[in-house]
Amino acid sequence: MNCPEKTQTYQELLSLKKDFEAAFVNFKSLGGLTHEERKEKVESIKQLIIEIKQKAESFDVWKNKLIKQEKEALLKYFGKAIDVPPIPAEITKEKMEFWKQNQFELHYSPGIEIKQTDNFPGQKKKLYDNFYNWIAESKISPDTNKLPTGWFLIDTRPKPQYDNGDQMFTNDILAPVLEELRKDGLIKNYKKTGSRFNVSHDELNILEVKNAFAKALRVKAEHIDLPPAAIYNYLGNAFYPVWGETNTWEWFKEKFKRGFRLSGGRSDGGGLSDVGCGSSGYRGGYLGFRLLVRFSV
Amino acid sequence: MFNMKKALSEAQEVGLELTRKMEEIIFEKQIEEFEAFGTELKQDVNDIKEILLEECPNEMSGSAVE
Repeated sequence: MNCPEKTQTYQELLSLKKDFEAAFVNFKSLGGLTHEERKEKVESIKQLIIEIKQKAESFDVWKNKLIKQEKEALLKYFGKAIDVPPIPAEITKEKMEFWKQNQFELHYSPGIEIKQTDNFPGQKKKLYDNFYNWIAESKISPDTNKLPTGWFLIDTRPKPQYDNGDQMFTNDILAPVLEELRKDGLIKNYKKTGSRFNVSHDELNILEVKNAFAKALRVKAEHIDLPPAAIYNYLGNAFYPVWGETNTWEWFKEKFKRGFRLSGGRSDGGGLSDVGCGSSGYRGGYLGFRLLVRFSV
Repeated sequence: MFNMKKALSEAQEVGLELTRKMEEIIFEKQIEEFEAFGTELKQDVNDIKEILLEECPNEMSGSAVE
């Protein structure tokens, strides 16, 4: 829609809003109507609501709200205005609602390098020095401290507190998927068959495993990933400080030398600042994972 | 002696009263639902206005908008 069309639609929306408000006031004041008469009135208001929704949807209010929210979060974190591009077309309102119901949220990551010496206003829990030392020693890739660029879907659930390996992520959409994957032998069996713990990094990279996660989340398998350490730290500081408040830890995306992988988030290791490493085949009752979904920019 | 006609009439009265109450509850629920929509609509219209003021300042300043 161009600007004249948009303002025209807006005017129509205002007019429909007035109609709705008048119909509603009228409906509330009605007494002594028969069941049928009342039903008729309800139906006509509902029809009006449908029309209003259709008009309002053409403005993609939810997309604009989300962009605004991300701009504000970036400003608060980095202390400067950062431009946020449009939300990829493949992300629809229906998908967003489905992800929201399952505690997944969409965020924008601005592709900024986070140096050891940076002190951004929102960096309450910076990644520990060992992370930067590993970059300096070439144990991890030199761009590991750079936030990726683009829109990402992230599982927002807090990780649970350790309970003898029996702890579970709450209302977990992946629990039935993990049960199946364990049944099929793609992930090694565990006392809690739907648990996100005791899963190795290697297993999380098996194509069939990614396919199963992608199907559950209604995304493409090639977009399924684990959070990079820098984005975990940024999102944790900006939106989800609770991620660092429990004593379990979780896998990160990045490789460490000798086939190891990064992990972190352990409260008694520094919470959001914590970053460690373990063999990609390692599994344990303390170590879980959350998924991140990348979208093409 | 049991009066069948009276009992039926009383039962009918109770039934009618129940239906009236049910309809009242449905009516109240309906009002709540419309009220929530009205609040959301107000917010959406404000958001749209903000979007348009940013995207189409010329058209918005020239037109009779709320």
